[in-house]
Amino acid sequence: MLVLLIGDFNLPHRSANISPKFRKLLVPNKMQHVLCTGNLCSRETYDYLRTLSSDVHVVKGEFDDEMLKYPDTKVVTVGQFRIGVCHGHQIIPWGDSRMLELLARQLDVDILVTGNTYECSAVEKSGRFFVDPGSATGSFSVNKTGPVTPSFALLDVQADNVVTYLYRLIDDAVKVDRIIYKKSKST
Amino acid sequence: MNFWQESLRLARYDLPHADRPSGGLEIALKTEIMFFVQLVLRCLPYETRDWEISLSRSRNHYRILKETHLIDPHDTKFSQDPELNNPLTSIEQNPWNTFFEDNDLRDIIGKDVSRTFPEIEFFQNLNIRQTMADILLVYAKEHPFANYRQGMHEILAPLIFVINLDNEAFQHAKENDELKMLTVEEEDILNCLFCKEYLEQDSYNLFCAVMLEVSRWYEEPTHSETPKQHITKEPYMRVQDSVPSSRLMEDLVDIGNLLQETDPTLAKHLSSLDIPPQLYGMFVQSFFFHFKQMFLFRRWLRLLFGREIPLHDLLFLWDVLLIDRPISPLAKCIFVSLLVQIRHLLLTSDYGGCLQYLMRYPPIADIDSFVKLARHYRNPKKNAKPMMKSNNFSHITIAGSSHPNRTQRPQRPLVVSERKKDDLESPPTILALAPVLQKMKNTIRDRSNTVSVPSSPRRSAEILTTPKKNDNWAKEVQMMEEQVSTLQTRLNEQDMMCCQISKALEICAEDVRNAKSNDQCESLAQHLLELSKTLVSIKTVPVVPSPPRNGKNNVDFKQRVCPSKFGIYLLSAKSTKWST
Repeated sequence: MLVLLIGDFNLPHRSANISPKFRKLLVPNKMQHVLCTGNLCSRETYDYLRTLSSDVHVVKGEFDDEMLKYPDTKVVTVGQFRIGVCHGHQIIPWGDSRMLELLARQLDVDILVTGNTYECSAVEKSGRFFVDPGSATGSFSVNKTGPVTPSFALLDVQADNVVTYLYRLIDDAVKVDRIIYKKSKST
Repeated sequence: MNFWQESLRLARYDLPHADRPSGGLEIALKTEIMFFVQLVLRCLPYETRDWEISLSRSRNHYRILKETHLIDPHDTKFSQDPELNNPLTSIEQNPWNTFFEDNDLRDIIGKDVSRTFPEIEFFQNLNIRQTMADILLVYAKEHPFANYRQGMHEILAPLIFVINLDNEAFQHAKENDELKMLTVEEEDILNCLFCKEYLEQDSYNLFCAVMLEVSRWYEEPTHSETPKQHITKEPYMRVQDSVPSSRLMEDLVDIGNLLQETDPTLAKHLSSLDIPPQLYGMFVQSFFFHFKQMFLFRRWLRLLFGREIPLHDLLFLWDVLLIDRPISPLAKCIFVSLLVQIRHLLLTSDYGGCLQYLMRYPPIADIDSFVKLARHYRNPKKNAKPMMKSNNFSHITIAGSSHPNRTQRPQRPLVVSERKKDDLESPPTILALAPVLQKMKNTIRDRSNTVSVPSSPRRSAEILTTPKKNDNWAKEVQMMEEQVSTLQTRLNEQDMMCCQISKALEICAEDVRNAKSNDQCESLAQHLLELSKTLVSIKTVPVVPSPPRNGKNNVDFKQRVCPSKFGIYLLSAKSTKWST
């Protein structure tokens, strides 16, 4: 079961479009779910995600329209894993690992997906897995100096483990990383 | 002799000579295990000693096929470089590409498999479904020309069912110590043959063997021809007028001709209603090439009758089919006899009614006589035509629910339709009687408001034959029915006896003639021959007052006259009752 994690588009405010390299990778009928960490900023972006999969979950980013009533957090169960999604601007200080752990415990999830840092990462901490897909467009961020690397993540959920693929666009070429997370027996 | 031992022996010696239809048939029909063994025959060598090797070879073969065709991208045999092995990249070496390509096919197969025989618990098992899906997928990948077509799952289902049944039967026998009589060697072979772990492998091999026979009906018409045909199609041209484009179509045309030969009345009736055999096998006339409809006639062939006959009888029918290889001629005959079986229903219904009966074929009550009928059509000289009674439960479907035609069947005046059919010179079967009885039963049942929806065909048979209390009518009709059948049997017995005696007499006469050649002996032989002739002609005297002299015509005449006679008798009895 493939789950696409993507977010922080900021279209059309900070970027014009998703890189064509990424668009070539993201084709329909491959992933079953799409989890978006917010900051779509336009209806068209949402429609684009809908073309990738019929099951799209979106949480609210700070620049999303209030009228759309996206929830702050959302929990999706895929296979045996509970996956929590949150944009992350509500968590202060931003990107703090202990606050993220707190949220993961609150939501009682195995995998917590957050954005807002504009940097792609996937780490395992105290039996839980924290994924940040970064920004899909590589748009400018207030808490980062220098250029932002466009990125997204893909979870391959299997019976007892999750393989995470991190897709980064470095020097106009797609780099892929893989991180494997095994669910611990106790949880 | 022990059953298992016997089956081994039979598999070795008798079944390879199954061309002798009667012998092979009897043996094979003994039990379902024969089904398995004799099917395996094609996959297994003649010598039982070699079975183990060949089995392990074929099982290994499937394992390899499965490995190559069912790709799991997580497998460690693929490159572990995430740049090459990740779900999204479209590089050639990426195992995910083939994985996604198969996904569509897997979806279709999964859907079909989950719909297989919903009434049987065995097929609700998720493992079995997975197994079936895997087998079908491997087959589709291994035979790209056949690919996967809807309906293949219904061919696989009985196979896997029977293999599983055999395995369980063997396990059971093993637990009950029924295998003591076997030698160690034999037991080893059986152990190897009935191995639960190899259910999937064995099913696949059998499936391939069966598909060899059946795949011709799954072929698509060649693509180069068909578009042209669509262009040259003239307006108002009927489907049945165009040139057959695939082997399936050719076979369907053959079936139409066969039906014309065996039962012209029925063929005429169907064609007057515009239901030619190939109509539903053809593409529904539309200009969209891929928009096609697979309908009943094609369905019958494709599923090897799996939809029209309950599973238990189906296994029996398959046994018969598979013994008579290549199966297509017999399949055609079965097709025709399916039609002939319900001819009384078809002849009395209109277009919609006919379609209903064809789409939801009424269950066959006695599969044995049905098979005999089919074999009669296959080879009229060798196999005698069985005595046909009304063999279908016309009021229910296979699923056991009330047949849609039950409620909307037109109630025509009985006598008229019956007379008409008699005038049309219906073929010599007792079937002519069937509609009368059927209708009388129905009217009685309707009148007494006892129409209940039977839950199963078997129970319904009881309901059908046991009349309701205080219902003199039903009793009377049933009694007459019984009388007819007993008379028929008595007649048959007498017939047979007469034939045998006359034959014996002829032989005797021959012997006498050969032994000595004087005049006395000659006259004696003459006398004997005459005696035999009179015997042949006498045999129908009890029923028909003035039989013709010729023995051969005699039989036909008797068969034709008796039923209708009784029919008329019944009718008159009925009409008198009505008037009172």
